[in-house]
Amino acid sequence: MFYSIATGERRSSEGVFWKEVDEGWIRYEEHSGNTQLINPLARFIIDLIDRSVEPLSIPDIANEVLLAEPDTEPSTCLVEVEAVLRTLSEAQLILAVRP
Amino acid sequence: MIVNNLSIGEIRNRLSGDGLRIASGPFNCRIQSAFPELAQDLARLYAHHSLVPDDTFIDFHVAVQVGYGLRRWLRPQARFVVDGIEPFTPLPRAQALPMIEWGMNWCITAYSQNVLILHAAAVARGNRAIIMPAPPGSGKSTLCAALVNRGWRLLSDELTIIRLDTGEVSGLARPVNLKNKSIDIIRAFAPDAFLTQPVLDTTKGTVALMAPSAESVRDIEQLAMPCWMILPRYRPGASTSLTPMKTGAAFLQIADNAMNYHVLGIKGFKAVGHLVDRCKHFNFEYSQLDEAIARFDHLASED
Repeated sequence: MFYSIATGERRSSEGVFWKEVDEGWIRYEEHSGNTQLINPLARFIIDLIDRSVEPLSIPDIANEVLLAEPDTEPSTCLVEVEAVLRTLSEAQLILAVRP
Repeated sequence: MIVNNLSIGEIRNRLSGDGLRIASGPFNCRIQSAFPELAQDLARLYAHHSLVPDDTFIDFHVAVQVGYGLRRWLRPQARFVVDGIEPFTPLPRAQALPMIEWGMNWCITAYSQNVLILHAAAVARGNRAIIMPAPPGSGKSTLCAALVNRGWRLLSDELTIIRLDTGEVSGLARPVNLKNKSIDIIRAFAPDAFLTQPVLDTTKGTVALMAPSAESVRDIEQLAMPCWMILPRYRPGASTSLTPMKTGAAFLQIADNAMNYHVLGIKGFKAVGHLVDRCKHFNFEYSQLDEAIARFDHLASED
C-alpha cells in the first residue's frame, strides 16, 4: 500500500494552520473547519507525504522516520508508522492508493 | 441611572410600553413584556444594571408576548420575539422569565460574530478570570453561583465573551441560571442571595434565576484577562481535586465549547490558540462547595 495526500489538486498545506501544544500539534483546516490533535509522529508523516511528488510506501515512510530518529528500534518504528497511517487514512488526511 | 432607581410601576410601564433598556457589558438590550408579573423579578435580577438612554444604540430588541388566538386564555403561552423574529416555539406563560434569559443568550450567540463566545461560566478576582466550560449537569452554574457569593466577581454564568483583539473577557453579569437540585443547594449556601421562585417543567427541568452581586454589575466594564481554564465536574462524595490538563486537550475543550468557532474560521482558531497560551488548564472534581471555593481562592493567591 502507498500513501498520498487526500486533497486532490491542491497541496494539503494550503489553508492548513498548525499550533504546537503539549501533546504535539493542533491542525486546523480552513476549508472544512476541521480541528484535530496530531501527535508529533503523525505530523512528521503528514509533512513527509505532503512534500513527496509520488505516493510513498510504508517502508519508505518508516525509513524516513528512522533517519530522523536513529535510536528508534526498526520493528517498533514500522508498527507505529502503520498505526499512524491507519489513523490518518481513517481521518481522511491521507489517501491509501494501490501501487 | 440604574434599574433600582425606578419604581416597580415605572418598570412595569416600560416593559409594557417602549421597553426597559438595560446595559449588560458590551450589549444593550431593550426588553418588552406583555406579562406584568415579570416586573418584580426583573427589577430584582437587574437591580444594579445601568439604564440605557433612549438615544443610545440597542443591540437586541427582545420581547415576550402573549400567545395567538385562544392561547391567550386557554393554557396561556409566552412567545419570545427578537427584531420581529420568533426563534423558539412558544412556552407556557409561567416560563416567560427564563425564556427572556434563554432568548438573550440566543441573541448573543446568533448575532455577535466580532467576539469569541464560549459556552462557559467565567468569574474573576480583580482582573484575572477563570473560565469554566462544561456540559450541562457538570455543576458549572452551581459552582459559579457559590463563587460569586464568596467574593468572586461574576462575569457570566452561561456565555463567556472573549474579545478577538485583546483576548480579554467582557463581563455580562446577568442572572445565574440554576437548575434542579442546585436551587436548594444555593439557597442554603447563600441565604442572602436573591433567587426567583422556581419554574417547573421547563426543558431544563426546574429552573430559578439568581441575581448577580451588586459588585459584579458595578465592575461590569472592567475587562478581565483569562488566566485559568478549569473544567469542573460535580461528583457526589468526590474529594476536591485539581488536575493539570495538557494544552492540546484544553484547546479541543475550548473549541468544542466555542459557539462560533466555525463561523469565525481562522480568527476563531487563533483566538482559541491565544486563550490556551495565556491560561493554565485543569480538570476539577468536587462535591463540597466550601472546599471547592477554598481551592479556587488558593489558586488565585498562588501567582
